[in-house]
Amino acid sequence: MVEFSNGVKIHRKHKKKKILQEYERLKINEIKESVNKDLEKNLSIVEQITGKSSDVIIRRFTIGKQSVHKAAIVYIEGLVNDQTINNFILKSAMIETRKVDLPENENQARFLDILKKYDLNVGEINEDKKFKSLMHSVLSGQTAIFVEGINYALIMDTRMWQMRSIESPENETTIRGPREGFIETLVVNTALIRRKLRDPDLRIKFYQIGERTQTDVAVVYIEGLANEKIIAEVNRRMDQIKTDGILDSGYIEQFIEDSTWSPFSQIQDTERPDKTVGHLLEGKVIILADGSPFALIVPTVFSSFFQSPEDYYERVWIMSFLRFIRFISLFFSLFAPSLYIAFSTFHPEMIPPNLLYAMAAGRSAVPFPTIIEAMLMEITIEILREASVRLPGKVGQTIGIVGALVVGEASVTAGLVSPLMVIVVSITAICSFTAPSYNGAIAIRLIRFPMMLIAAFLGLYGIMLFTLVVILHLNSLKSFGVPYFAPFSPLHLSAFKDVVFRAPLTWMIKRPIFLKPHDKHRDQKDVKTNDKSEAKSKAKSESNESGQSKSAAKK
Amino acid sequence: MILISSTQIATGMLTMPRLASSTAHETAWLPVLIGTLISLIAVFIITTLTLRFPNYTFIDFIPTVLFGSNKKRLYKIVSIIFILPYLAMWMGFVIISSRIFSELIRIAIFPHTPVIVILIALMLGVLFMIWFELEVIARFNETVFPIMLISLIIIVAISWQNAELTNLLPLFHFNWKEVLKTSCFNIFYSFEGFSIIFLTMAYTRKDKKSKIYAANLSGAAITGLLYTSLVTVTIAVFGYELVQNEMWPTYDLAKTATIPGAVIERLDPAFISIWVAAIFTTVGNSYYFTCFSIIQWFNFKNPNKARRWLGICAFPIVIYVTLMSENIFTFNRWEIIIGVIGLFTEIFIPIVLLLLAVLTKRKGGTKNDKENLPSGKPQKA
Repeated sequence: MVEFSNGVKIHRKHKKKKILQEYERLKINEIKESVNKDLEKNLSIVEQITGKSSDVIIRRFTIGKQSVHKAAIVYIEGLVNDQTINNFILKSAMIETRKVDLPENENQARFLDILKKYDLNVGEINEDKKFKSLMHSVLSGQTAIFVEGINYALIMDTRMWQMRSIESPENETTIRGPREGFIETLVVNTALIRRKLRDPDLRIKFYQIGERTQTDVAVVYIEGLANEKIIAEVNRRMDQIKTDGILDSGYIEQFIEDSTWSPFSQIQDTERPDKTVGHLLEGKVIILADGSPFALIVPTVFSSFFQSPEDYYERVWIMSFLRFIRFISLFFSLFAPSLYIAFSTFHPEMIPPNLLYAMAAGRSAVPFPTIIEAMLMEITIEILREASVRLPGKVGQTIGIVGALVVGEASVTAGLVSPLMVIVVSITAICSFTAPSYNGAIAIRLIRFPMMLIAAFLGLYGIMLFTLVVILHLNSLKSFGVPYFAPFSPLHLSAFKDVVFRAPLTWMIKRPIFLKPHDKHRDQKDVKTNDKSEAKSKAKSESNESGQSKSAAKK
Repeated sequence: MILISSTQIATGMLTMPRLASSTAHETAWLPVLIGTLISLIAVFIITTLTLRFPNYTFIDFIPTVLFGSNKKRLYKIVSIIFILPYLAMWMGFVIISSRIFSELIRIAIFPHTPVIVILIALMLGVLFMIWFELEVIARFNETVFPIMLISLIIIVAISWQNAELTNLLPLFHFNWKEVLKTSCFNIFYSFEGFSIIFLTMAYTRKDKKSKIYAANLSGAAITGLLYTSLVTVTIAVFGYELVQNEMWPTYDLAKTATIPGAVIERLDPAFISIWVAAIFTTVGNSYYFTCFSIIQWFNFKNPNKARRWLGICAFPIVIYVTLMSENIFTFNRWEIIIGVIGLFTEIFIPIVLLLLAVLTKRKGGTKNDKENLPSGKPQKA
């Protein structure tokens, strides 16, 4: 399967690549010119590139005492901080320079150098000669300044745009723990991580992805902690993304994930900075995309979809119990309807007699076989769920109540479904909400349907066969080189204390071994890891160690 | 290690108490223990042999042992005489296990369903297994094994409630000759399957030798212990005379098992469904390794693709052979035939090969060969 899908992918990629190359070539021809000395010509090229879009502002002015140096700034309205432009660029360039006598015949480069070093008081300032890169900067909210007679432009960072304030994350709520969530602005998100993690080893690498959107994407990891192979693999896959636009980190997820056709998502997403930092400390790599409040966590293992950051904030027994509850709900949300179908269709002998009579009485009025009944109810539940997501807040809740109570009650009275079926379906639905992660739960929701079908045909035998096939599939998955089903297989008993139950924090001083982190211990920061050769030899000895403990766990 | 156990545990466990008690009567646990010992010795021999040829599967090292090289085509063709019994045995596992289990399922839970439906469902799952690499198979076995183990332990534990220890008495009243014969011929079939070491060892992590021995031996030992306790408990519950008349004593054991005050009225469908895992791993592993070795023998350029195609092509043939006989008792006879072949392949051939290898001082499989492996990733089996 892997091979076939790869083949298709390569073919598609190849086609896309060709088109992109063609487009690239044309575009380069168009803007191959560098900035030249003639100011008006430069400005006309800018106008030509942007097609005289109304939001591109070109402001002409003069510099110096004699007002001999003609100049112009170019920026995009709404993306820049007007205050910076007015007070620190225009004011400096137009007014402050009047006091200085800038000789006309002096070296032009020196003149701009003076401007750069003394007059323009903005934080970040760069030179740029090529129109292509220059325009990318302008389009991201920076301001370019052209001066007559100088064949390069100065790029000043004046970015500022309207953004949402930091709010509590909507999809991952916790009772206890930080209330802040990521927002759509990348720099704010990276700052949120930095604020929680004052480690100089924290590395943030930027990518521009998307031929047209030029979206900033950040790869975040802790140097000397995350495994180099994983980092290299992430970088490799990021480089391979070829698309015209990234609108959400979900795009990136789909471009870099291992198996596209699997129902299980191999990359976890989160809105919570605290969860993100927690994963960084485990040695994982985080990918943030500008315009998306969701951070991607790689590599991801199956069990991490059922962990909430809250697990570590509350006390041991309570959270271990809740984790246990979550595993039970996982089991129920996957198996409950199909087990009901199997029992009532093929194995009534397994049900205690009293319950069997009650079930038979409930079902006596129902005209359909159990599978139709179950499908009917499950699909209704899915429709209700989808409807309540799409509808605005309060109406959504109403629909939920109307759907669950009224329709459920009425359909039992009308003799469409048996009361027990309603119980089973609603328990299933509620159980599937306990998973802290939406995209982990959604795979289970999806698998439930084939499971029900096969239960209707082959009873418990079919359920077991299908479960085995699912387990086989889970085992075949990998997320960035890490087996998806770790730590169950390959078995790492030491990692179990953070999977099956939640051990005290003092017990978990070792990082999960299946991620092959360099710095294995949490309790002390290894200063030496900055040294590369040290880190390498350490990685070697560590991989040996992990191998040994692996086989030890086997025994 | 787990791969060994899960390949071993199969339908054999269903009939074993009957076969074991047929001659040994009350002391049916003894031949099982002896069988365990024999299998342990055999595992030891095979492991020693494979350790001489790290990175080689038996496809590679059998010609090496015989002629000192595995490069020439002629050597390969001659070595097929040795390889064929293994393939036959594995295929025998596939066919017998799947058929007997399908019959059991039909009788136990689906009285109206034709066997072919059950069989095809099982084999489709197995076919899905062919798709993946060896590493995935090993990890899959690792995941499923605890389910199997726990279900068997539960069944043994629950059944102790009904056990009458007097059924096991007198303790030492038997005929040595008969017991040995039973353990070799009647029940050895249930122990077979550990010859997959020949294949998997090439891909396991290169640990210390003692560790490899420990892993392999403990795999076989777990099977042996499980079998022994299962047989003991079955005899204790039913008494050996009754066991003689039962088709599948272990299934009847599951039937009698009840959890007092539990929600589920009868446990046997649940146990049978869980045993699907045991059968699935046996059938799947055997089928997988058969295809795997055939492909390796032919030395295809793209072993994964070739294995998949072989798996698909062999599929209807396997189904046909499996359903060839109407009578399930034929399969009990087949079991004995395969048992004898297994005796030959898993004990006799390894001893001969080991002797040859030691006498001619042939070793092989240096580090350079690692690149030639179809999937070079070391993996603990």
